Amino acid sequence: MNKHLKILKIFAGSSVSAQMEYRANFIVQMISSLVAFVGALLGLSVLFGDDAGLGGWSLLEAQVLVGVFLLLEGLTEVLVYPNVRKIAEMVRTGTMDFTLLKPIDSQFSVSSRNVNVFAFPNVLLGFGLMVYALIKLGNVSWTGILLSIPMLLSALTIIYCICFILITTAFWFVKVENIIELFWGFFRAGQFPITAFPAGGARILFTYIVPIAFITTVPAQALIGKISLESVLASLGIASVLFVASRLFWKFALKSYTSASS
Amino acid sequence: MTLQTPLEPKPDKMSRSSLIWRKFKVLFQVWLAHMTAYRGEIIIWMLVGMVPLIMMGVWIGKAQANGGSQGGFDSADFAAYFIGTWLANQMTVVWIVWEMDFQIRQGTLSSKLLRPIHPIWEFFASHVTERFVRFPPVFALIGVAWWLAPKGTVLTPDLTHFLLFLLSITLAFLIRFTLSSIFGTLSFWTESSTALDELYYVLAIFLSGTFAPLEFFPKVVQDVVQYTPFPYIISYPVQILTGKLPDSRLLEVLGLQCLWVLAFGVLAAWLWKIGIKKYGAVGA
Amino acid sequence: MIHVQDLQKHYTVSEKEAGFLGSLRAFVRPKTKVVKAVDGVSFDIAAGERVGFLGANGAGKTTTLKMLSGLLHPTGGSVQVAGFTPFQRKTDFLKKITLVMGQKQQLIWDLPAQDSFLVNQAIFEIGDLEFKATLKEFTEILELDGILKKQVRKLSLGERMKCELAAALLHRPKVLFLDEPTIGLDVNMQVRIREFIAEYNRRFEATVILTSHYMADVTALCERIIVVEKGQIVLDGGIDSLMQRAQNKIIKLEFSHLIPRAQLERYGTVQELDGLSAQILIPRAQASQVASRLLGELPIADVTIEDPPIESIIGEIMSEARVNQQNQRIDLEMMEAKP
Repeated sequence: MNKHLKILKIFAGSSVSAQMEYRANFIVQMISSLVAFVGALLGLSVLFGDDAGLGGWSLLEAQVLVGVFLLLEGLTEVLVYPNVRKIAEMVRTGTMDFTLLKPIDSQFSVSSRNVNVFAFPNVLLGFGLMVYALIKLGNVSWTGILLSIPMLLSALTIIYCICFILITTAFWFVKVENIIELFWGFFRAGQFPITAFPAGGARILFTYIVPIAFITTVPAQALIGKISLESVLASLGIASVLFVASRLFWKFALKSYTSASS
Repeated sequence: MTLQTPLEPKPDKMSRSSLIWRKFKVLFQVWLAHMTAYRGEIIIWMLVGMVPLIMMGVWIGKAQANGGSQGGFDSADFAAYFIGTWLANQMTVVWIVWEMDFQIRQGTLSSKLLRPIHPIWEFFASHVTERFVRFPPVFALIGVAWWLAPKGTVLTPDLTHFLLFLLSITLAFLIRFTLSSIFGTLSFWTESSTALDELYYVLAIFLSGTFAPLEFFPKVVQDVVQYTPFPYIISYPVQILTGKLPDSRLLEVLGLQCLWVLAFGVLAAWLWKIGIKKYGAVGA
Repeated sequence: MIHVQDLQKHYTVSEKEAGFLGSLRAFVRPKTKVVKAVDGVSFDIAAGERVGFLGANGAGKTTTLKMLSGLLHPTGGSVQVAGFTPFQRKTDFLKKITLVMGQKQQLIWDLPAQDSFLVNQAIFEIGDLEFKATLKEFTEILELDGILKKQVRKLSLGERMKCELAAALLHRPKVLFLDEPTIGLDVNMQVRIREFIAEYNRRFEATVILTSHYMADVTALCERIIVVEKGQIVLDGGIDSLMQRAQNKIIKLEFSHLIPRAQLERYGTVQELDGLSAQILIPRAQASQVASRLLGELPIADVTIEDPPIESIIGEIMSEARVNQQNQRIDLEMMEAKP
């Protein structure tokens, strides 16, 4: 474990200093983050313009949810996205071979190599909005907050696993680098509580097929104290199943990769 | 080893205009073949632009919860509007800023600069031909969306409106293309040109009418946005498609679209002219 | 054909210190410095000449080439190619020149090379008859049969380079700028490409300007060599005159029986001693004198006096130039240091 922590530190340090060189980029991305933040709030106010609520959620509750969404989007951009994008590139250019030769768990190594510091402001903005809306809501319980931590971790795991499984297909289809973008396409649905969608197809899609509901709705429910035991268990269950699946799939992919290219 | 065939350069007699016509014909033919090789990627990118369909779900959900209609739109209106928005977004996808950023930074622009044709035409050809590869899956997906949409959804009232939409969306594409070219030319000075384009995208989701029909925004936003290119890229073409734009405003909207294309085009050309002097042709 | 006067290219680059703190400092306050990639070069090249540019990495040869072809705007000085100012990139200028840059592909990656040729035909406004004739010739000489219809990305490096060259020469340019045209190719392919370029030069009386890491490219193709070092020309002359600049001669010896190394070292620098054959380096002026002494004093079966290979001559000149530039710099600094 200690070894992994040390490696994490080195990876993070070198990838941070690489990005520091682009300072104009940093400023523009900061502005971009702010605009996206204001836009999300403006969007909510448009949706709540008639005071009728959204799928049974009040404006403040929905703001908690958008906070969770931005927080997770930010974390994904900081931690997950830069790595998974790199994996496809490594397969395409053949540098993956070097990684496989290192005496360190390959999935860990390819998943922890890069961080994108530019996206960190998004994390702060999301966290800020989440806390602000919770305070305004008032009736926050400690159980809710305690419960939200495993739910957020579970959500992040689900995101990581989906992205990782998608990108692992790169071992077979080299041109698949952009398949990861598919996730972002669906992920945007997480700005809204699952109940905002009309009953039927859309809800089933976002609960079971692309489990967006467990990424944002469930952690937000935990925070505002409206979570059911079934949701907690389902969230943890889905995260564990996906994690095991991602590992098995990775191992399987490596096996066919190494035997094919020898 | 010698060159045996006697070579007498015999310039074929071709007029100026037919030479130009041939340039475009060949560029388009070849790029169409190239883009066809990338059809898998194109379908992926098509599916990435889910926002309009997600918003369709949310607004229809809201209309249903509200007893069938919301702000003058019923479920079918929302469906038509957002399917149209999705189509409009698909038709105006532009990646030239990424292309320029990459080519300027990597130096691959060099070989394009040494050809007697402006590099922008090759970028343009790739975008236009990509659109033709994108058409079939886009219309297939629209068919599916329409089939799933609430009963009574009318995407477009008649053929005239659809044809006018095609005209308007072509202009919208040109606005987007010239605007993105402006960002692209900034790559001569800065590494943040792609970040600027992303900033545009974030703004456009709200201000072009992808998040919600612009009528749902506060009055002041609606007023200000008229003076920006945003609604001319998505909102107005979709209003023309769904037949919501009064005929009396049609010429005005198309005219303003042309003006935006012209303004951005001139600015992009000027920036290119001064930027190219800074081109370092790195490593190439 | 080419006229270059006091050509300069200066870049401003940002400097970064190593490590995290260094990059943090650069983030807050970027530092820049001016790099003089090309610092006042002048030369003339006549039509039909074949000229090689030599120099270490970063010596300024590629930058010069880019200014000649019109990719870079010079910081100072003037340059004329075929009567044009390259940087304006007029259509008539572009039709007269071509630039080949190693493996940088101007071919469309996912399509057969043939398609890229068609694009070039249209863009360069090549008539159908001329296009067909040229393509036929190139196909013969470069053995492009069967390659043209394969996707470019499926071609081997050598095949791709052949297509690249063909594409670059379809419009029959009068001036060829070749930057590392044989980089990464095997020896056979290098020879082929060289022969093709020589033949093109002969047939079309085209001017060829070439940079290469492979000395063999330059010595086989070029009659004139320009050596650049730190942005300045340190040598410009024909291959023959280069030979005159060599400081040493090589004496090759065959002995009738073995002799100890120490005995040989008295005459000069022993480069090689292998059984009965040896090779020693003698200062140019003393070569014949030493040879006759050797004949008299050692059991010699055979002796030949040769010029050292061109590679080592150029290497000598370049390191000499480096020392000179260093000295000049020290002189300058001492002058500046004086109040």
